[in-house]
Amino acid sequence: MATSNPSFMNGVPELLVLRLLWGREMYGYEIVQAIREETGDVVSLGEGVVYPVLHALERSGAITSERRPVGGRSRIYYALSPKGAARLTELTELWSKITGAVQQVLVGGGRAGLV
Amino acid sequence: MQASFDPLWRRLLHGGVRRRPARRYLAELRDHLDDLIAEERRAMTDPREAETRALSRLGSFDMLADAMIERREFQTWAHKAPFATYLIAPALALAVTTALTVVGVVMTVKQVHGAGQAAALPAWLSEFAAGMMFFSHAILPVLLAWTLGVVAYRSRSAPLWPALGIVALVALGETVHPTLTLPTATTHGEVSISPDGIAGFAVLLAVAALPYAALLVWRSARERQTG
Repeated sequence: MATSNPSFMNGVPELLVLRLLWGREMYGYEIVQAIREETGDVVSLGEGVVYPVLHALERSGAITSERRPVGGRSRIYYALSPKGAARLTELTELWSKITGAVQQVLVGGGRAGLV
Repeated sequence: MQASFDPLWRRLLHGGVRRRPARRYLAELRDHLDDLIAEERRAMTDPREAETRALSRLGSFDMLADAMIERREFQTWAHKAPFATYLIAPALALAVTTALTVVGVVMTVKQVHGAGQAAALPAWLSEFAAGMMFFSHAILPVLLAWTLGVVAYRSRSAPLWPALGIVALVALGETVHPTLTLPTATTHGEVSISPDGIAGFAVLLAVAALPYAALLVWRSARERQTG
């Protein structure tokens, strides 16, 4: 499992969770495994740490939850709300701007190269 | 073997997390751990090793606790604003309830006195007024102090603010001691406020603080037993 740098991870779990819940419902374990698989294990959360993110998103109205019996067990499924969809659009735009700007710096931009 | 989440539960409460979100967090962590153990058991034969790996993937209790504690939206008011919770709110509740009690008694006396005009007031009225005044300066601060103690105990707050709150409640109750002089056929009634002596304060403080002190001692002993 990849280690994560907290200073670079601010807001990333929230963005990933919202994106993963776009168009489908998932429970916590599924979300964490999906993050690992879809990011090629580059972005990984301490697995239990996803729940405070989920609960905070639910409290802010970005996602909803529903408890359902599955295979003799009860699971809490999370789904994106309209408010969450709007938040996802906002965060995605912000993320694109930031990564674009950082990339520009990394490839040299208009400045002279490193000596 | 299944991991005990008791230390994490205690950390969360000590960190000021409300019971309801803490309970839900632990329930979901248990479910998640079950899934991880099942996944690891499919990959390896030693069940103990599978569980160890599953626990490691779930995260250390320190990390899991910090992730929840750092979110202020899940914290109790007692943790976010102990000054307001343990000092301002109880003092305000005592002041408002005392004022309402005095107003209620005065209105009752006026009602009865007005109906009987110059006739002598019934004996029950004097007992009722004295009882209500006693309630507002002696019983009410103690009840509020007990409530404060239970809230502080359940929230696992550090004892400083709750202790100050209990002292403030008793001091306020003893300082603002309303006394009602009932009207007679020739004189008006009167409400006066006079402080009690230090002995009354000490007795009331002992009664008010005892349950909270007992709860703290009991918890401390229990935690020493369970390690």
